[in-house]
Amino acid sequence: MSIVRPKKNAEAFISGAPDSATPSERPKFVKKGKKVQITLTIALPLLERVDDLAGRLSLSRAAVINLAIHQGMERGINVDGKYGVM
Amino acid sequence: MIITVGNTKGGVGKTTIAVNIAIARAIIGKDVWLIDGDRQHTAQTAISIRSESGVEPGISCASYPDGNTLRAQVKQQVGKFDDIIIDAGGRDSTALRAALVLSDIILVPFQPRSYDVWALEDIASLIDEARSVRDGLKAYAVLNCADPGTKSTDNEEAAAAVADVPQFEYLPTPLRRRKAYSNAAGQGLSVLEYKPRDNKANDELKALISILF
Repeated sequence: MSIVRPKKNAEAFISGAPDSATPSERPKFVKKGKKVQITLTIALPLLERVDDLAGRLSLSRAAVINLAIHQGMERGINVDGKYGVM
Repeated sequence: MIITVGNTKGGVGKTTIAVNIAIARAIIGKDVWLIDGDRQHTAQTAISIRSESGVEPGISCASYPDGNTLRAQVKQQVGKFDDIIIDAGGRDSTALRAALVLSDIILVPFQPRSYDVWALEDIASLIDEARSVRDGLKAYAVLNCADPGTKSTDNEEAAAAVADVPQFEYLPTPLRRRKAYSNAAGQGLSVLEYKPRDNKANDELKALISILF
């Protein structure tokens, strides 16, 4: 009796390489311990206000941004009259 | 004939050998297509330097670091060339895997150093996977930057280590560590064209090519 080995798929083999994910499929963050690191672009005047508030509250810049996001998610945010809440 | 010069390990001399093989085949009148499957585009750069210097024969060269694109292009163009030489790897990549699916031969250069010998297992497992999706892939391992002289213990030990990796057939045609290879490569030349002529390098390259084709 001849042994027939099932053929795997060439596409699956090729896409099994570590660099196969397309940019849109890649996670848009980098893991940093229990948190993730993201890229955030921000207007300079807004960043200066964040830093000013951080200084007055003795918090880090990242802590103020995280708190603002957290409180915004809890209370909801307004975008052009549309109100969104998590 | 489609030959991939590949290894999952970097720095073993893939590009130098691929460029040398492609040019050597073009010199004897073959229509050759050199494909650069490495994101560093070193082969493409070497051929650009060659082209800008007006060296004949010119070499057709394309760069396809994405495996699916490489596969699609090669399938479409394969009938137009006598030989297709693919430079792929440095790591496990879609381009290397696509090349393994397409090629008649995978030529795996390695240096007579422990790290290179250990890395043969990695490319061997990828060759196993490739063979599970296709038939007829020949895998050859060849020493590159082998120590000068015919009595190097390191060369002998490295060659013997290939016997532990049954996926490969060891080619007894090592390329030794010679300045002619790197000097020629930097100018987009094969050692066959490089002046001053290095007869030993010429003989080594011809011996390797005579086994491959």
